[in-house]
Amino acid sequence: MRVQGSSLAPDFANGDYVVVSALPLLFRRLRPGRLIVFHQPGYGQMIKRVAQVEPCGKLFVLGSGEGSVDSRTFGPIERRQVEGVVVWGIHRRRN
Amino acid sequence: MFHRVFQVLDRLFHFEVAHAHCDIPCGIYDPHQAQVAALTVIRMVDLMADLVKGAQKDNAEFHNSMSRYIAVKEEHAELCKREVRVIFGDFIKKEHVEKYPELPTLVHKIMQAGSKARQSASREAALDLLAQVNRFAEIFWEIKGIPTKRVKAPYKPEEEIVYPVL
Repeated sequence: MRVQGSSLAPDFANGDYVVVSALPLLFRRLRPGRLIVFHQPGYGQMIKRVAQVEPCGKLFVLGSGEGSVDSRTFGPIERRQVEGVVVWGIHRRRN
Repeated sequence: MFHRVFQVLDRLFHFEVAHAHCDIPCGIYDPHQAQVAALTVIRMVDLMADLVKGAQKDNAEFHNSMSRYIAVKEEHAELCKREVRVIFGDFIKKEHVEKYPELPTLVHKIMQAGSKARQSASREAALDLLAQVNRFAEIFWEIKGIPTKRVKAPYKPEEEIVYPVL
């Protein structure tokens, strides 16, 4: 997948690529710090970092920047919205 | 090198996009436009009052000027509301509201003051809009950790406005 937007900077910049797999979802519980791709109604497929797993199982996701549109805007997301976990990040060469 | 390979593959197979959404331009928020819009509303009310006091009435010039002042007043009251809505909706987070519990009520007051400024030709209503927006600006800059000062705008209507001390 191609990353579009800058809310994960400096970890991921606009135009970087990520390889996303649903397999880790079958074997491992999602923990804070994992980068996930999920579907958010009204926003489409989004990539954010899990900040917190709430007791009810919902995930509070955050970007890195102040202007990031994330759970601070639309609230925690349901586990079933998650489509995969980032297993490989391919960064553009930065000078 | 890997990035180059993925770029080529992307061109061929059109990869899906994962949105790392942020507002565009990313993180650029400033209540200044809302404040200037509120000042413009006051200025238009003043110009309308001056026009009514003038000698020329009931001619095409009078109606042309009055229509233009009203149109600009309408536009800027709405612009003011929109700017505040965007900052409140996109920049202000839950923790900010917890720190400044007056924020939701203040924004609601600005929406109402903006509507009142459109509905009437009252200077008090326009001043009220500016006062609420100034308070909003003060909170905004406090959140950003930037001190503010209140100064008289260096242009008509020369009302007080909150500026960040950068």
